[in-house]
Amino acid sequence: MLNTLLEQSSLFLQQLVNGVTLGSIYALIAVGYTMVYGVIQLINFAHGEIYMLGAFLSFSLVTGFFGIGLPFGLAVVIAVIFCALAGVFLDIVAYRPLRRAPRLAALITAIGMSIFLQNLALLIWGAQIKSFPRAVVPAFLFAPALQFGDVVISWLQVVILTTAVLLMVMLQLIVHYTRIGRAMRAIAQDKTAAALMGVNVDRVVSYTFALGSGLGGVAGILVGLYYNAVYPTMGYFAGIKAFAAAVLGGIGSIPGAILGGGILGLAEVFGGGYISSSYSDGIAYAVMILVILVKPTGLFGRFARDKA
Amino acid sequence: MTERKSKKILLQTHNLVKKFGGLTAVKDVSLDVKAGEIVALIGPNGAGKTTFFNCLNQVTVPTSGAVTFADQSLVSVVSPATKLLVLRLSQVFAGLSLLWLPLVLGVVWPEAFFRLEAVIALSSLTLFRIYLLRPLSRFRPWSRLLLIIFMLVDIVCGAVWLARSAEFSEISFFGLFPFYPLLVPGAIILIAGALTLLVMFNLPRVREAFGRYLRADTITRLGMGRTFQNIRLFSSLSALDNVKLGRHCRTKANFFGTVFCLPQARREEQDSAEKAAECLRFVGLGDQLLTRAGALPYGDQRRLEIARALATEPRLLLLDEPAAGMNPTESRELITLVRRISRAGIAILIIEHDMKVIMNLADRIFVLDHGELIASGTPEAIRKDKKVIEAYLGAQ
Repeated sequence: MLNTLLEQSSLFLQQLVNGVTLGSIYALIAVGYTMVYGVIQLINFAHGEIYMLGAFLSFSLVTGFFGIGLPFGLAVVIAVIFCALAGVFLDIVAYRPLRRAPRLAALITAIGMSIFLQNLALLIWGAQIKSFPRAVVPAFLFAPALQFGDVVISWLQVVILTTAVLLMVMLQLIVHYTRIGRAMRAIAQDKTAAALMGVNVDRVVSYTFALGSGLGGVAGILVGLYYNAVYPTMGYFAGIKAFAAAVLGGIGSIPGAILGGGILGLAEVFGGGYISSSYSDGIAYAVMILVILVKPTGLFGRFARDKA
Repeated sequence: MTERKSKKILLQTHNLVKKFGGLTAVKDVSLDVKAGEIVALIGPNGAGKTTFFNCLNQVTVPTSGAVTFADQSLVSVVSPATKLLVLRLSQVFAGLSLLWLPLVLGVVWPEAFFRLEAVIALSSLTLFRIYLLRPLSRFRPWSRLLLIIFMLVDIVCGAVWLARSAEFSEISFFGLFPFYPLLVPGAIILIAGALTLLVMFNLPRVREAFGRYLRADTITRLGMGRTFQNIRLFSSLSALDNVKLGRHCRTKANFFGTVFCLPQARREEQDSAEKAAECLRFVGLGDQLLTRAGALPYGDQRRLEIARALATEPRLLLLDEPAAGMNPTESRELITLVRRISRAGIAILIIEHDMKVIMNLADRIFVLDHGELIASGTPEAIRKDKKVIEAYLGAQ
């Protein structure tokens, strides 16, 4: 009796840890969706592909796919910077010409860019699933950091969690206490008024893309390590789920995206653990649908403002 | 009062016209504001006053006419006819150049022309060129350059086709007729392209024709601040943040600076916080720094808008009905506030319905009716002007 109880609780704890880890990754991606939506009311469907690019780039830099193998840390930094730049590039090439077009046009373009980037990755890296060779990744990541009973928390999970938390805190600080963040919040409310107060709207939108895409790239790298699998369509699934997380939390709200990511990650892991692992995605979406049914604007969502 | 002020003209508009489809909202308005002056723009509802403001800072692009601000031309003088000619030429050319890709592929690689991939590639590239089918004035400088490059390429291609058209004379199109028609579009593209390019390379004139591309924020940086008729504060930001946003164009910490809180960025942030607080104290909101802008009472919101505009360090302040919805006490306070701003050396152009405010403040008054300037002069002259009385009260 006691034994089963212990077993049950350790299973629960393990699932909790896994769920929070997964959730923090979703949150990192969801923040990118929500920031861009908040500023220009565009659902950037290509965001998942930026995340995929992050994983692929770090993989390539580390394994020397492009000719030179870099140390792990340096490769990560370069990959993240590249992702941020890719986000800016995406904005300039695909979305900026459509700023004044109907919103649907930009949305379709976003889907188009997503398909384009997926196929580009397919072209460059091929369809096969790549995995980080153990030799190039710091070994400690796969060692258990904490272990009590059957519950194991690996260093990788610790790293994922702390990275996510640190980045989220940093993001909140940027958005609330810096010049650029203030401009972002202003543009989210009234683009014209912001421009008339001397804010270069296009540049601030680029910064938004850079920030969101950088975070997405970090998430990609972390997931690539966590599941040890990097493949061209990874961005699609993660992207859809993170988008669901952003909607669940109330799209446009950064704390909402973080909470939404956490809820979705937990729902997925617990659903997979206690109900059926083949339905884990379905359970995650079911939770989202339930929340949306009760509160259509999402947990932290505001009602749509009148279009000014 | 006007006599002792400097007579330097700060803002001048010349025959400014703005048409929305068939409606002429602003019609041939020419007015000027001198440095340090308070000028009022009045007129019945729908007279085009706010549209006129929007034309000044490029929220809407004027149809024709000129705006000069602080010796810089914002929109320039060119007869609409010239403008239209250049515009049509470039549009005709851009349209014709859509022929280019299918043609060149059909000639160079006829068998590929009918393959699916080729069709997809062609249509996407053609789509990109359709995107170029806009008035040139809507392009930013770099994309204008792209357009010029496109035109150069087209002209070279047109010339090459013409030179080589005989070589391809035996290729038949769909097996129906020989590919002689190549001669015709080749010639058309060459001529149209050359014409447009000729016009475009006369750059000063083209710049005249299309005006300089100035974004609204650039104009704010030049020193034109404004407030809005219907309050447009960032309501979820604090009063202080609203005003600090006005400092945005006067600070220059870049992305990395702000993200990593480099010393220079921190100093700037501190500095803009101090200046913003000063602006708030100036309008009498010194004790409301951290209140959410949306939670402020109506009159305070109006004053906050003024503080935000002042934070951009304007040389000219455009006030769009600042006294709307204010009670007599509040509008009296507003009058003193505007006076104080004026004393700080900032010129003011004010739209207002409250005649007491206008008559109290304005050095000169311009009256708009149905988009046309019907009178201008000192408050005393305007008060007695027949046309003005007619416009407001109807003809007797």
